Amino acid sequence: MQVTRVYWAIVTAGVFLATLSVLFDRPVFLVGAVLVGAFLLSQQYRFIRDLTHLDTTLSITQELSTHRPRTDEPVLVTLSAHRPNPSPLDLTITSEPPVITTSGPQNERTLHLGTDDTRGELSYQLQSGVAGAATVPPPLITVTDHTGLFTETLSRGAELELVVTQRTPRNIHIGEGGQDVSVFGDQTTGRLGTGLIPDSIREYVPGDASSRIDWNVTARLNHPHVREYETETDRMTLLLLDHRHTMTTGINGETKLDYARSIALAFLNTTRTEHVPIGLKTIGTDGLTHNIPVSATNTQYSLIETTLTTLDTTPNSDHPSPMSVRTRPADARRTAGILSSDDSAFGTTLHPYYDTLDPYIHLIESDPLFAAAKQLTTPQPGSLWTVLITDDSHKPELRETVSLAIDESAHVLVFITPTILFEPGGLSDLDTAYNTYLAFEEFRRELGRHEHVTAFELAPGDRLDALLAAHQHRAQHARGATQ
Amino acid sequence: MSTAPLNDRLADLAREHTTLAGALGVIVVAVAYSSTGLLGALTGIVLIGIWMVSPPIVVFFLGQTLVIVFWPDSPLSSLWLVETGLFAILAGSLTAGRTPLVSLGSYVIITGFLLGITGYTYQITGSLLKPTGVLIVTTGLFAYAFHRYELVTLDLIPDQ
Repeated sequence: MQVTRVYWAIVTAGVFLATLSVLFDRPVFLVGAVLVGAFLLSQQYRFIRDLTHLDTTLSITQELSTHRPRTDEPVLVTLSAHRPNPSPLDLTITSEPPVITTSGPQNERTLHLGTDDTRGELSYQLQSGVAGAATVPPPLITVTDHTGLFTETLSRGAELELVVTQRTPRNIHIGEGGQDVSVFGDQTTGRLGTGLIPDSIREYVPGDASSRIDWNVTARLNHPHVREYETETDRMTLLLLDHRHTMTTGINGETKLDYARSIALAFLNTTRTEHVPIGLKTIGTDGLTHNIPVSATNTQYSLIETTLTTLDTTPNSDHPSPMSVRTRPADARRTAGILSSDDSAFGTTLHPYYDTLDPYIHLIESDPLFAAAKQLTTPQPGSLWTVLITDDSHKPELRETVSLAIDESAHVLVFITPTILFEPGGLSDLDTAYNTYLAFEEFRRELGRHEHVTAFELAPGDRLDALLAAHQHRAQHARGATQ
Repeated sequence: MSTAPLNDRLADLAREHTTLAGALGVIVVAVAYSSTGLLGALTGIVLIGIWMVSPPIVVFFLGQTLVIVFWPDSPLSSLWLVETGLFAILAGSLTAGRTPLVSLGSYVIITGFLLGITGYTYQITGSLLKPTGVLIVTTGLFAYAFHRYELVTLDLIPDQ
């Protein structure tokens, strides 16, 4: 209970009367002071009685239009209060949004119930630009006595959970060389079909979904074929998700990380449906940011889902990735061979740096993605499926990481987001963009040539289609011009 | 639903409770003042006017302090009428709540208790200094006890 300035003014008046009684030796002023003291105590007692009664009868409801909004998606908060009878207490009820959200000024979130009011309701919007879990605390109720002597602040009502998730891309392409590939069976993203692992090819029969047709095989065999997927239950899946700064590229809601998150969530949904054990390692600029061991409990699936939906990119490091400026070991060996026969000052100076590959190994081991792959261990050799989701910004590192992951995995699925298809304005120069895409495709194929490795491109379907269509149009135009 | 700012309402609320008890009280005070002469009668009328536009505590304070002007040497026993009127003015503002009888009853009981304890102290000591101290300490202790009672009842004590 807090007292107001009015209360202290009355206290001062009472003390003044008491002082007068002493100064003038007049008991009548002491009686006046007694009446003032009794008045204040009686008002306090009445306030407590009214407040206690209000606390048992007041109904406060706070509701959210959604508990799992996307980032920047407005959430409507409805605050309502009801008391069965008018009360001598004024109520000011303020909804307190979580720290991660933004909303209007406090007066838009504040509901006033006067002494004669029994019901009130207001709505306001909040939104969050960042993903994360938060709690909407119970509304704060400031109760004021109608005489203005006392106030009290209470927190009443239910606490609400709010989980803000990242926006998901709308047009996800998963494929090889611009062709869609049905990685998950009936659907490419989101909620999945019954399979995950490409198993066998069979002829198309009426009733099969057209989306399951494998067009590459169909073209090769000249008859429609569909791809079957196996649904092993002793399989384990480990997601390695890169969320370093380079994954920021892209427009809001459709960044590389958004696409990576979507594919990871799709794997999660599949494994949850099939009760397949799954784990998650997320890789930030400075190393592992989350390391959730493989398990198949409901808590595990929820934990991974929360981690994925709230994941954001890590800040860029001040130092460039060492691997991004390094050559491959094979290139280093070749250069060392050349330099060994070079007696010039240039060759003599450089040769020691290429003479040993140890520094290269140390540099690799300091890279977060490689370090995460190095920690791959499984109690059941041959049962682990590693799903590596990253971009093409760290090619040498990715190359070595995939090589390492094969040793501990039955199969490695690599999903790579081509930077050129995410950069705003990246398609402004079509020739450059197409050549960059070709280089990416070459890299993807190189990875896919490893045994037990399947590499996919993960990109915005509309941008990829636009790039390929524009290039095809130009090629046709050029052919027409030469003829 | 009221949309007026709370501070504005507080000023209004102080004048809203011109209750019957309060009206009787201020009339009694005015009559008591009138018994001292023309100036006393004018003072009584002014007090009624102030009571109509001001919080009751203002009229109470003026009515109490002006005693020294109109009854400079009168003993307490001869001032029972004006004190009764002043008591009624404060009691009037307590009858406007949800449970007026309980409020009024608590006021009567607390007044009786404080009067008893200060009067007893005055009888024992024969001076007004110690009863004044007893009054201040007792009122302060009661106020704090009410405060703690409220915190416990409403579960407002923060976790340690």
